[in-house]
Amino acid sequence: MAENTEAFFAELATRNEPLLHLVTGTYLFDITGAGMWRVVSNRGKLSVSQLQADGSATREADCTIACDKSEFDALVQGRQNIMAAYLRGRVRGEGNTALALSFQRLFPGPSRVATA
Amino acid sequence: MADSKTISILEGNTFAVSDLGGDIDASPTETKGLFAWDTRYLSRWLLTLDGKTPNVLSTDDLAYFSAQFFLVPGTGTVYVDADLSIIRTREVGDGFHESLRILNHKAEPVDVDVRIAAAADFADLFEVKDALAKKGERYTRVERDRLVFGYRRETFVRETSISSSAPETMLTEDGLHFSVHIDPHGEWTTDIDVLIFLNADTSASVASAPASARLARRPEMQQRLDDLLQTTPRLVCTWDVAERIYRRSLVDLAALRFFPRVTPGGALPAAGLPWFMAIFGRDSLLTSFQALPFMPSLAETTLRALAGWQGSRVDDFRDEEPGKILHELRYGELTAFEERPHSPYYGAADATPLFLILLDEYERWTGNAQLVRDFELEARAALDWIDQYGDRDGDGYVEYSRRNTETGLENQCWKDSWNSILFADGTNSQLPRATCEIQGYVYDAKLRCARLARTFWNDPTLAAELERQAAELKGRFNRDFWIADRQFFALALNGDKRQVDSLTSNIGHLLWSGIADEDKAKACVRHLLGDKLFTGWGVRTMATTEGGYNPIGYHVGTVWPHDNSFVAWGLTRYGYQEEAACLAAGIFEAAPYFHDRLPEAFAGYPREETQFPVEYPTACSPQAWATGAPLLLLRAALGLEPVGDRLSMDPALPSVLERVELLDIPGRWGHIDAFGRGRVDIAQVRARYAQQAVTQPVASPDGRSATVAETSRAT
Repeated sequence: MAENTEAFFAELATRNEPLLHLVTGTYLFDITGAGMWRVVSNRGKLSVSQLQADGSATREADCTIACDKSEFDALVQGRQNIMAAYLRGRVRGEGNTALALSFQRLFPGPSRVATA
Repeated sequence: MADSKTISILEGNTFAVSDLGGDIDASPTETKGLFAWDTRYLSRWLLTLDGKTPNVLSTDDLAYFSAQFFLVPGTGTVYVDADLSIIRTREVGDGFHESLRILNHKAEPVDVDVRIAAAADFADLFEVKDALAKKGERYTRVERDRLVFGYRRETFVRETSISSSAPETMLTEDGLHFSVHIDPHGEWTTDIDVLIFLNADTSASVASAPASARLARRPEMQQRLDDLLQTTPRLVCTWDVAERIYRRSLVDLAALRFFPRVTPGGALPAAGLPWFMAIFGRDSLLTSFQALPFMPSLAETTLRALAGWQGSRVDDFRDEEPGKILHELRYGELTAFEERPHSPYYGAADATPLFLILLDEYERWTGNAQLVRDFELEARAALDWIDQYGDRDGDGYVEYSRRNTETGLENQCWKDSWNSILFADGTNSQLPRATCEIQGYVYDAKLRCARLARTFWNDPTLAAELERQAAELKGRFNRDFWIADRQFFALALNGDKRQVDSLTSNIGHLLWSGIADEDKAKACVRHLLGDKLFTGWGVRTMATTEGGYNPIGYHVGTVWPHDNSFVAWGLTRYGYQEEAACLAAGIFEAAPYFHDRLPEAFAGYPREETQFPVEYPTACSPQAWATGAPLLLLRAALGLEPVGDRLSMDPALPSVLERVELLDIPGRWGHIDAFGRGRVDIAQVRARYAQQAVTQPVASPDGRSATVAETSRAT
């Protein structure tokens, strides 16, 4: 399990993710206080890039998932459930909702916190 | 809630429940209101003319998503003063749209003060059920052209926006007010939009998207219903009641369609109105199975949505485990703040094998091999769940025990009330429980996945291993669950592995799965058709001989139409077609007493005693798997089974169905018709079992009407 947002994306870049094996599309993560990442899934083969903070990079994506760094840290550490956070308005989703929802399975569960 | 004084219209997960005049006046515990995303967006919507509530002339639910209310001004007396007519037409979508027309029948102009009092309490559906207090704050905003009700708790925001097309609209915090002048023989009209919003949705989209744009898809709704009914088989039956029941089932199934965000454009069956307009694992899977010969697209969406939410981690609060299929997904405030675990909740031990069963059955009907190939990983994860997590203690059976001991479900099988799994003396059993029907589902799922592994996944090793496991499970099950001195299968194994020894309808599900040995199946059929379980309308959830039996106990004595449809299909599978015809006849004959719409459950009184089926007090209606029951019963009675690229038919219809034609059954064969004549004499079959309850030996079941006389003689 990643210790924070930055580590989560660094680790994601090294993965072939079976949970996304039916998913082809581009996610944009806009994490206030940490930065922006673009994650492209080609049937589970992932490529991850961090976008430049100077605003030069395109924000084009099939879906955008946005929240604060503290919230995203909580998600990647299994302290927060993304669906509950979305319903509460702490995580926002735009664009292709089906694609955005497909990503929820990648976050760890709380029990892994204890064993980490 | 079954209440004849209300009218419900719905679309997706939005529904409006009002009185027969179209008014909504909800108390904290009343079910009336406009609901969406498991939240009540309108709790008051009261029309008055000159301060008086109009009288209702008539109400017309035009389609499941629209209704029309014909009213006249209230006079405070029983007499109707019909100088004015009021017509409210309401359609639900992302909120609702109401067209209000007032017609002046007099030769003089008229001035009338029209008001609609409005309010929103933003109750979570769970709060309506349990009468809980709100933790956040409500606000009201009167803007230039709309009235906004809102609710905020931290970052959780829900808003209702109300606007009207009439230039004379006056908005106040209490609602809408119109000073209306109508010319002689003239009319006045306004279009009112009630729109609903979630969180970030509230700020940007309201201003930019005019109401009309969001509601533009409305005209398509009737079209979509017509299209759907066009693609379903046509039933022609000389007993026209059956045609009405069939039509009612299809229209209700259409109404219960839920369009999950995880599968754009696709619809799956939600579980029921009003409480259960949500994705459910078990209910959506079983209903999709029942509907496969009629609306196969429901199964595809169900499989896709449930695969999309398949468990990927261990989470005690949600009872989530890797590979597990969800139980229920909710969107309301209590779910958002984790006061309830439904985001989603995974507390069902049967949904995972049922997912595998539907995946195989879907391919057998439709020939859609791609879906089976796409979901190989998900199916393997589900199989792994069965062995690694489903079987918690390694005894070879799937048993459940909730991880979430506070708000999780005590019973994670279809009989999910806390006191459903009882010993014959009426005492409750202990967790973890291994109910018998779940072992049957696992057996069936493994055999079906063996076929999928061999045919589509190119893995004969897995296929052979699954077949070995299934055969081994069947042998063990027929030993460990069989109660020799009473000749039926135990309802469950208790936490200490003792047999939970009540006689229940669950034994019928073992026939559906095929796990029961032939001789033991024969003994079970004798129980299912005997008068301890069979009321004359259907099979009771629990037999009258058991300590826990209660004819109006939710899962301990009532008759559930969906339960009966699966039992009937199981009887057909084992060759007991005449017995299946008895169940089909009973349930079809019960339906007219409920205006052709079968309830979730009805009382378990003997048919001879009450003459009509007695409605269960708190049943939810329409309920998806009750709606699907006539469909699976038709399949059972016609003996429809895909064999390769053909549809095999072997009808054994009860005489009440007289003559049946089911035309244009869709499937991998294109479209095909099925025919049958009602040759099974129900009274004769029942008499046979009434006798056999006393004399043990049973005639060999043949299921052919031609051999009825011979079989009867043998007893």
